[in-house]
Amino acid sequence: MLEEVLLALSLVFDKYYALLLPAALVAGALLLRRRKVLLLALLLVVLVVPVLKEAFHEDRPCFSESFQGDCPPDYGLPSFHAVSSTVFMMAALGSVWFWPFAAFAIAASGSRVYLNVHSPSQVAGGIALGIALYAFSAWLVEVLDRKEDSDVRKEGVDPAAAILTASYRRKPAAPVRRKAGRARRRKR
Amino acid sequence: MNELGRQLIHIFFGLGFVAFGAVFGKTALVELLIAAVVIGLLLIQLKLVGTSVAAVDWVLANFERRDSGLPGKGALFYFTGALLLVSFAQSFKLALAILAILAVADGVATIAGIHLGGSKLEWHPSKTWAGTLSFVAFGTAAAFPLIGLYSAFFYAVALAAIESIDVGIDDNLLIPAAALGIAFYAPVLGVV
Repeated sequence: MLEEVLLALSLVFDKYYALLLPAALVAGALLLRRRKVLLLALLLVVLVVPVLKEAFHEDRPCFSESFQGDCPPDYGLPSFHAVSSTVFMMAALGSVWFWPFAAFAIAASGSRVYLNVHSPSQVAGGIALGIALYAFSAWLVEVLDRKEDSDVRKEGVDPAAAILTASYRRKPAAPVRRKAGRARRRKR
Repeated sequence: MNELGRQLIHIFFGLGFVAFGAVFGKTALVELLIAAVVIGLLLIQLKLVGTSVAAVDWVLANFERRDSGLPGKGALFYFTGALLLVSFAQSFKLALAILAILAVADGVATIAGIHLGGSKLEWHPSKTWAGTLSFVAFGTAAAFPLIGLYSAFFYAVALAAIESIDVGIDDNLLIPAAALGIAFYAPVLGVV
């Protein structure tokens, strides 16, 4: 019974990951606070994983004539399923949504080993890469935000740039409001 | 807990991973590290949502840097960096050698920098020449039994240079990632 459930779950992640990933992205964008970091990390995953697969050209365990079933044609290191699902888990860290995203990551990563399309080491490498790419994205977003803040302080908000980067969130008005309040009180 | 104690634990854990890998092999080390990463993430999550786990609270109170932001970040990135190395390195011996450099050289460099002092690096005012030279010396000593003197010295110098630059990314991730990048081109220079 357990075997059948695991196999069914693994096949769902194998056949329908192209649907599950966008669904997770929509859920992440709606539910999680660190959307910008999540999106940047996923973009990096999409760009970096194929390059690494070609660079390391490590065969999948299913690259043998005795394997029965569908073996993906690309190389195995790192596992795209593991990298991408780990990024969601990292983005959800600290929120109540961590647990469903962690279950998603464990199921997506474990299914690859269960179906023998990745070795445990390829999945482990994927998980480590997912954490590293998420950490790198968080660092990059922080650096860019800090730079944007200092640019705004120096030059003010450029409306055209602000529309392009959707950053009409700077609030230099807060101290001004306080001053206005004080001035009003003084008038009274 | 002072910095000396923190770095001694850093060295002890790193050498522990190297010894474990040398005795039990790559698969066992990957399993140990993945377990450490997953358990670490679960404990960080519990801490972030306000659940008190006595042992974790004690470890964080005694070993965590005050300015680390995410609780347990240092340990999580240390395990993640080690897992990156073991999974991606072209040879397992090289992965163990870089792990040894990360453990010994990074730890000793911090201790030397604090206790020996001396002139500061021009490009990083909070790091010293004593720390950087200690990184090279102890890194070479830690890695040469695994990859030979020439390769060990090459990696120790390259990683000391990278460690001395303050890019703002945690050393425990930066050093393994940089080492993997260097290892890709190292054969051109006759290095392992």
